[in-house]
Amino acid sequence: MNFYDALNFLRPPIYRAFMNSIIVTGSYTVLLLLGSSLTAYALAKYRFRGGRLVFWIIISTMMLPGVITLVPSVMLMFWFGWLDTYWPLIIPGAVNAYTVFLLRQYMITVPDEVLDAARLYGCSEFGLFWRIMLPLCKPALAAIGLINFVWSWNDFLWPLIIISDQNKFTMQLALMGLWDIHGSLSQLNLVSACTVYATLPLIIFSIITSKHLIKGFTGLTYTKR
Amino acid sequence: MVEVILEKLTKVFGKNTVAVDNVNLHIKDKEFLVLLGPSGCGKTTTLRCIAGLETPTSGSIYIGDRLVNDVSEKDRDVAMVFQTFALWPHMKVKDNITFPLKMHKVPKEEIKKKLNETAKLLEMSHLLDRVPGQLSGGEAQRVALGRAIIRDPKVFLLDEPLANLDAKLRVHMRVEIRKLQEKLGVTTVCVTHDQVEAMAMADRIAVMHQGKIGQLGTASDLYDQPQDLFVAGFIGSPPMNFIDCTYEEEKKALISEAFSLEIPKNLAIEIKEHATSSEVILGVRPQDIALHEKQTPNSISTEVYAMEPLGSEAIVDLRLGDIIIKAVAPPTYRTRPGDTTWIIFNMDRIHVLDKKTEKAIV
Repeated sequence: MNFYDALNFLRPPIYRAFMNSIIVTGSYTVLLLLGSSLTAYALAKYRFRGGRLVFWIIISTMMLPGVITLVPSVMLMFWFGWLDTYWPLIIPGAVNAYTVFLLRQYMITVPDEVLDAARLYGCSEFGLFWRIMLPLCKPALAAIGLINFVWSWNDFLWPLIIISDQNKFTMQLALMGLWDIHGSLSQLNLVSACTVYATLPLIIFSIITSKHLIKGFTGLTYTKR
Repeated sequence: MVEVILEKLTKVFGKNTVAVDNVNLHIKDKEFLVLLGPSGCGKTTTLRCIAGLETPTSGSIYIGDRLVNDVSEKDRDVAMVFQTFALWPHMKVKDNITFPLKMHKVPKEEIKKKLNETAKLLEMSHLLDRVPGQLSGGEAQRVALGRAIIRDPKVFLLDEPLANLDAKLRVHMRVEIRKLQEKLGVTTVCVTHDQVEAMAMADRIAVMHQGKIGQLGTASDLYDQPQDLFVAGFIGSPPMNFIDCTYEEEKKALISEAFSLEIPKNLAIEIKEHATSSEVILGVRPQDIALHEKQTPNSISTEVYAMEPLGSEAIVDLRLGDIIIKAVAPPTYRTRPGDTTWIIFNMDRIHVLDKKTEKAIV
C-alpha cells in the first residue's frame, strides 16, 4: 500500500521522475561508453602524429575539480540555449577522461594480432572496433558503465542548476519533495517507499552486469581464453 | 600459378632501425618456403609485408603477376596463421572460421558448405560450437588453420605456427601442416626460428640474418654447404664447432694451438685460390668427429670436459686447447670428465671459412 501511495506522493509523480531519470541516465551511459570507447580505441591502437599529446590533454582535464568548471559550464549551456533541457545532463558526459583512460589501458592489452587477423580477413576499420574490440571489452564496459550509471543516477547538483521545470525533474530532484513545508521528514513510510524506488534501478543494473563486473573490477586486462 | 616475388624489399622502422634490408626472393608456385632466423632478424616483418600488414619502405612485392604494394591486406587474397593463433575469444569456433567468408558476403548456404568441408578436412567437426577458451593448444591451432584455408587463399602465410605448442604436439603438427599444404597445393611462406622445424617442413629455406637473406636452399644444401659463418653456426644441432686456424702453404696443413691438421690437396688448392689471408676458420659438425679411446694415426688428443647422455645419442664436450668443442657419440659411449680422448675429423665433411669475410671457402 505504501508503495502505491508513494507513486503520487511527490511532484512530479515518482513514475514520471523515474522515467526522466531513466532517459537521462540511460542516454548518458550509452553515449559515454560509445564516445569514450571510440576515443580510447583510437588512442590505444592507432599511431598518429600528436596521439600522445591528445591523450595527455584528455588526462590533464582530470586535474580540474568539477566545482571550478560549474559556472563556465552553466554559461556554456545558456549560450547553447540548453537550460531546462536534458541535453546538458547527457551531452557533456559523452567523453569522460577517466573512462577514456581506463578503456585505453584495457584496449592496449588486447594483442594487435587479434585485430590484424580480422583486418586481413576483410574487416573494415570500423568493423574492427564494432565486431572485435567492443565485444572483447565487455568486462571493462560493464564495470565502467555501472560506475557511471550510478554516478549519473545519483547526480543532484548539476540537474538542480539546469532543470527548473518540475515535470522534467529527475529522481534525485523529485526526492527533494520528501521534505515537508516545516523542513522535516514527517511521513517516513512514504519516504522509505520513495527511496526504494530510487535505488531499484541501481540494484537491477548491478545484477544484469554482475557476470562481467567481477572480471572488470578485479583486473582490467584482456584475457585470451 | 601463384608465385610470390620480393624485389629489393626494405622495411625501416623509425629513422634507422632496418628490419628488412634489400631482400630479393622468388617463391615458386605451390612451394613451401621457410624463413628461418633468430629473433629480430626481420623474418616476421618480411611476412607481414607480404600480408600487407606492414608497408614496405622500398621495394616491390608481387603475388602472382600483380604488384601488390598498394593493394590493401584484405584484397591480396592471402591468409595468415599467427603465432598466438589470434582467435577471437568472444566468437564460437564456427564463427571464427567463417568470419572471412562473412566479410566477403558469401551466400549463407555456401558458407555452411565450406564450413563443413573445412571442419572435415581438419577433423574438428565436434569443436564448432565451442569458444576458443574451451580449446587445447592443438585444437586452437587447427581452428586458426581452418580460418586461413576456408577462403582458398592464393598464398598461405604462417608466423611461427608451432611456437605455442608443446614439444610432442609440435612434432605431430609440423607433419600435419606439411600434408595439408601438399593437399591444398597453396604457395606457402612460413616463419620460424626453429631449424629442425624448418628442415622438416620446407621445400626450401631462406636463412635470414640482420634483415638480409644469408642463404637460400634446400635443407641439405644449408646443412652440407653453408655459405657463411652465420648459416654454418645456425643450421645443425648441436651447432658446428669453429676452430681458428692458420693455413700453412708449405705443409699443406691447418695449424691451431692444439693441432696441426694435414688437408687433402684439392682442399689446399681451394684455400690458396679463395682465401683472402692465411687466417681461416675450420668448421666441423659434432656428427663428423669420431672418438677413440686410444691414439691412432692423425688423431688429436683432447680432454673430456662434460658428457650429456641424451638417450638416442651422447654429446661429449671436449677441451681442445683453449676452446670447448662438441662431438656426437653413440648412446653406449662411456667416458668421464678429465679422461683423455682421441678424435679424428671426417675430412670429407669439414668446412673451411675465411676469417676476414666469414664466407665459406670449402
